[in-house]
Amino acid sequence: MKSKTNKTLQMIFKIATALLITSASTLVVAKDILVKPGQLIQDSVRLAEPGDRILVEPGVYHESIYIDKSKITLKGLQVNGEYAIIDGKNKLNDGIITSGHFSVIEGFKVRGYKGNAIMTQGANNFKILNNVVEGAFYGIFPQYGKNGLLKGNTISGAEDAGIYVGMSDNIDVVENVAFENVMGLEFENCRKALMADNNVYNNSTGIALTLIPGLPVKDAKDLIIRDNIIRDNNHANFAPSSSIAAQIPQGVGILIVGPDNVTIENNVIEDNHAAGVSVFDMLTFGLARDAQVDPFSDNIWIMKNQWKNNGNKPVGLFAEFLGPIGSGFELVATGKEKGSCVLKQDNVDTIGTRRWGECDASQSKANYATAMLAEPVKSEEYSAEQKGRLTYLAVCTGCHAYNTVLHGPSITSIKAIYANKPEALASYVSEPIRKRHDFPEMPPQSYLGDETLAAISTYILNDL
Amino acid sequence: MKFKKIGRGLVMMAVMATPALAQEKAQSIFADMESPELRRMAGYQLDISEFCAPINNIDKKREVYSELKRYKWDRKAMGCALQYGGELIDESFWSYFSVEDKLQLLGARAEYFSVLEKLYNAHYQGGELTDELKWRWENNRRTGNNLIEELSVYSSVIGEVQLVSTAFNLASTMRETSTAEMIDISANALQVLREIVEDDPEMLNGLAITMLGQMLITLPEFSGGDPVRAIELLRKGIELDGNNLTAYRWIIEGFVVEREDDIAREFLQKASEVPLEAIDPQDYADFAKDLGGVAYRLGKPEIAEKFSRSRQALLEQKPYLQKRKEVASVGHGGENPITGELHNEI
Repeated sequence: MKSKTNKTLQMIFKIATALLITSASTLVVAKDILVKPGQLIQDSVRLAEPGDRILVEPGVYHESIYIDKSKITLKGLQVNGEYAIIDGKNKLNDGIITSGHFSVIEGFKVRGYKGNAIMTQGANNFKILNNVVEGAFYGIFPQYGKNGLLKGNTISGAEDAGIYVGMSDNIDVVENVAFENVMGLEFENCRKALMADNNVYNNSTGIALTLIPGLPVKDAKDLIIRDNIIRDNNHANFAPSSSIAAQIPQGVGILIVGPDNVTIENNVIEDNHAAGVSVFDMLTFGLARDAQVDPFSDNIWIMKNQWKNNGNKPVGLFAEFLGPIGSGFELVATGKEKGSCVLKQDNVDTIGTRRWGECDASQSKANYATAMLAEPVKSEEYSAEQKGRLTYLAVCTGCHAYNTVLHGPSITSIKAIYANKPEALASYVSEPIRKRHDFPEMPPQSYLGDETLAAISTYILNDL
Repeated sequence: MKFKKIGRGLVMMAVMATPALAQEKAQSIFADMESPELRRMAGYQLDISEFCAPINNIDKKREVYSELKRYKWDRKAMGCALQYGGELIDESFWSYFSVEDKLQLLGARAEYFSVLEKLYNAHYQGGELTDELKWRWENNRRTGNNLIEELSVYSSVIGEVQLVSTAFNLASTMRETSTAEMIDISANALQVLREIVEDDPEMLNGLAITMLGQMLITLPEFSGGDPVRAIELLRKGIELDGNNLTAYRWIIEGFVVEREDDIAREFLQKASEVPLEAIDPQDYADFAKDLGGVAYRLGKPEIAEKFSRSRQALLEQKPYLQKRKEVASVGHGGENPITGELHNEI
């Protein structure tokens, strides 16, 4: 009898304890963490718990920031027009990288990074708001994400795309300004995405909608481009010749290569010297290496837009290509697109549209407010293994190729040197020292944290 | 003699501007890689040359040339073969090294472009491998053009000279070629190929037919592209050579352009029945990957798996073949980092 009473009491105690723990955990209050000039933002990220806001005071911060926790808001405070500036000093590769779901990156000026200024990698339900990005290879680069919003950002000087959304679904890119980039805005291998109310000017190509072969996502579709100003995108292409962006033509308002189901409606498209809109297939573009990808763009609907003065002064490829045929084309297509149409408007000259139909203005497909989901997409925390792969892709491949020297030594040589020694590799990566005079100095990667560095090292040595 | 992926050379039609070095604005790691100082530090100014063992005996050299020019999996060995071929011409009298031999050497040089092209990174270039590939590309172009010049005296009487020269020129445009040059070469090729298809479509096993078919699928409508005519030509090409996987590959794409996927699937099925032994092993390994990918795209996973199985068996049997491992560079490519899987790997 006594024994039975004891057991009952123990059980009640256990339940009560469990309830207490549960209550306590739900009672954890999200907090604000203030970062002042002279402090490291990354230190606050380490302290932060899901739900916390990290508020960064105006000042200049020289670091790379990595977030791998969910529900972290990283916000730059503005005081009297002064920004919290994240500055890579043209030495660091990455400004802010997050793989945390529900991340919010807001209000920073990010400049002087050699790779990504702001990147999300595998993060869902993210928001990137009201940042100013200057320089970098990719300006703002969400990749492998679902349900994201990029709003109110200003991006210039990107050697690839100012805003570059890669392999992501249900994304809104709205009210941003992109100028003096090689591409202003880009959707690459994205499904269900919206660009609206953006101002895109003086880039080499204003907006690029692409389907790139050789990536894990093999299609791109359901893209709406509406209510944007796409003007004077005639900047010389300044992408390094080694990058794929070097192939981007100068003078194109909207370039479409590969995606299906694209609607272009109610945009101002003017003064783009090569063409207002140009539609190519991947064979024509020279990107046909991946046979799993359908190279042809279908169902391109060019609805009513405000067109003016496009295609009148083609340079480079468009000049050489279209030279014998003429100029002044608002729309240039290859003629292989199926199910495509263009709305009849005065003074809209087209070429390559012999098999296109005429759009019906009443059948607009651009009449939804957002491509985002009504409810957040369900997202689980990433395992160490996943973090290793995600971070390898986001960070390491910026400088290291698999089987050849790129900016740093090849992965195959690293594997040989550190075989069966992941701790040694992680330790080196954290605080590298210059071992070979013939390679550039590697920036320290300690900001990634021990767990992620261990995961990357294991991935490189065991799985690559 | 088959020339693969010459169509990709028509990227010229494409939006393939070749910019000058990165301008002042650029600051990324890629821009760095183009800075002379960094290239010097990184040892990129390689003193590249073809390190081929000297062979003094002409018969031995001929033997090695014949053997190594088949080594499509080894850019260096095949490069040496081409060098030996050139030496045999230099060391021989005209009568000894016939026009046919020279044409074969030119054809091998055209194929060498394909061998090199497949070694370039799919998304980004850079580093020592790219430098070497560029060097090999330019060297191949220069040496091949000299050969074309030597052969040009025969071009009016031997049709094959024009055809192989055209194939070489088109293949050379796949990389390292300005847009203007690409457009010139393509325009000339269209004219030459149309004439040959008209006069002697069966020349070199229907090579002109296959090449013209590829071009007409690749070109935009306003530059003369005509998928319907291309399909007609490629059908003829397959009639002439039932093992012509290049023709199969392109006729399938032609039917996809025309959105006749059912017929595309029929040709895919036929392509999967081409006996492995009829194709050069490296070519087969590459075609199987390519056609297997098409099979997935066209909703025929069983055909994709068939290609995958035969490819894997071949790679196990001949482990020296290039496997075309897909790897990531600059945030692109490779496996899905979330699942760790390569999409439908073949």
